[in-house]
Amino acid sequence: MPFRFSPVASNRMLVVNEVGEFIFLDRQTFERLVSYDLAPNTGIFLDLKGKHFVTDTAVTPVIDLLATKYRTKREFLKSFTGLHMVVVTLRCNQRCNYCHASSQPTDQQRWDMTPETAVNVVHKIMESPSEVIKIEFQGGEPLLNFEVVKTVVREAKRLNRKKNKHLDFVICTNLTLVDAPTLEYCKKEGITLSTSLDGPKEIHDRHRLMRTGEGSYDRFMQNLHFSRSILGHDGVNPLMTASQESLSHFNEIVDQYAALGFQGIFLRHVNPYGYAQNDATIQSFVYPMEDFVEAYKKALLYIIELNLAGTPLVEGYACILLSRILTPFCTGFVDLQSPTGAGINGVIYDFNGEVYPCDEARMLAKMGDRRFYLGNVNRDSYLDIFTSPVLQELIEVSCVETLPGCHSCPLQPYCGADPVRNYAIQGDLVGHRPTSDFCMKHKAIIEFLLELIDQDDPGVMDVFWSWITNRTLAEVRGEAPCSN
Amino acid sequence: MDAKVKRKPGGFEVILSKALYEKEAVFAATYALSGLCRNRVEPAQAGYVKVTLELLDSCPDADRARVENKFMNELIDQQLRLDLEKRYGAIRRLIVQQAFAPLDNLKAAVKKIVGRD
Repeated sequence: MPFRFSPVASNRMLVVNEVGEFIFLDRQTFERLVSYDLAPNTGIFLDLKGKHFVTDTAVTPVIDLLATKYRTKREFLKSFTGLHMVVVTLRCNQRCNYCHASSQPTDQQRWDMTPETAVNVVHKIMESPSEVIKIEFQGGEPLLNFEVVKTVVREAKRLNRKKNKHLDFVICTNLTLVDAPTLEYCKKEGITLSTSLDGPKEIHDRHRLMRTGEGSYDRFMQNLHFSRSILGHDGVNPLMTASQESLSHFNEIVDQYAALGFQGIFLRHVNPYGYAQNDATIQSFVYPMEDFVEAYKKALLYIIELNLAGTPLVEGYACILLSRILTPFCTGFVDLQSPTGAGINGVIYDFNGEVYPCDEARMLAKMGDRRFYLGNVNRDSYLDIFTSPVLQELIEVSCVETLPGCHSCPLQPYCGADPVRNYAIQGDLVGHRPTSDFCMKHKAIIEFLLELIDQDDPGVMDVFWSWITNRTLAEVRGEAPCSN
Repeated sequence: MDAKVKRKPGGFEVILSKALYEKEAVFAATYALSGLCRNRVEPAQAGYVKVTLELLDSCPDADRARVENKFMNELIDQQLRLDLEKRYGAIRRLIVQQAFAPLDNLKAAVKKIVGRD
């Protein structure tokens, strides 16, 4: 049966098939595999047969089974764009050092989306064939143009009476402007909040600053508790961004997330775009990816320890990859898909109605490069936008099966491509894998997870299964009945 | 002679037999090292191809012997991948076809490729 392979650091050969089944083989065994020299009754042959690398029985059922698994893994292609990010304003009361949203001062209302444009945005969103629609309000700070947020919610719900889709709303907010009426409205309309927490005060305040220059941490914490008191404990979910200074404090950041009772943390490398390129702070954001990967690995082991010691906390990125590795199901993750999720899984509508396949593409346009402009909701039809030559090109150049360096990579079933990032960082859509930090990061982390799975430590595997099945450790171990 | 390595200042030169290594394998191996070396692929004497690899000044690990071994191993891996693709590529394509546009008679298609169903 077909497979891909690559040597890995442990001096073994990683062998992965088309649907993501994997096995590590020592060199000798690998050579015997490719030389047809494995006896059918040996343990290793049966291991390989169980994972559909070899067969000594009928071939057709194996191919049919692999085809079914392959189709399931690609399920995300069927639904088309489900994540719709709406930039209701570029104004923001913060001025974070790594912002790549081109935030503008709070008094400049010309950067607000108008109600008319908002209605046109919603009409385009509701034309999506996806049965599941998530509308994510972004900025700037979306609460500075809250009336337009309300317009979008009202119009989407009105149209959905006929469309009958599963509709979710999320507001990405720095939390510093929330008040009781806003939170009550969110509760009534079923809107959750996504926010940013980079770590303890010293780390958070280093780069997440108010426009007046002071740190935002104290106000954030106060409003986090206030928001939870109205929306419920899980009504607010944070993301962290790792600057160079954060790397040596990952455990403290993890501890803080755990202490605040968050369900998970997503250890996220900063995108070196926008304000992150400013000379004054660039050293905080442009750092070797190897440093991030090393810090990530240590932090992941620490998070696993915490889970085993009774503190449940999911690492979001590992959870996505583990789902891809350990289950037959597909996982939606716009940043790491093949073909790219940009445009076909997620799309962003700028304040003026312009449509881009992802936030990075919008950022490039703000810097004067409109290479990825898909159209404008005020002028163009849904088909004009979502069948635009730009989007078609993005899809064509982001199928990992055809990309140099990716085409023979065994990590293909778990990985993806980001042509917009390739373009922004390396100057062309295809990119250059041998010098790509995107490739280096994903490869290193995926291989690390595969090695952990291969070690088959019962505790670690219990933690992994608790993450990907959204159950407690006790439930996974059969010590408690399943609650979901 | 399958492969002859000649060390040069700042890099090395490899003469490869075309009978053993296909063009795709040579290019893929050269590409894989293009973050470490400045590479050139050119015709050599009849039946051979010459690959010149010069370590980049910025190469953080400018260990010529290590890069040389890496290239030779990469070359073998890439050629093996091509060989495996010849053996199993048709099955791979059949899996993808069956996934998205199931065949009326999969057994017959399998038999045609594998010789048995």
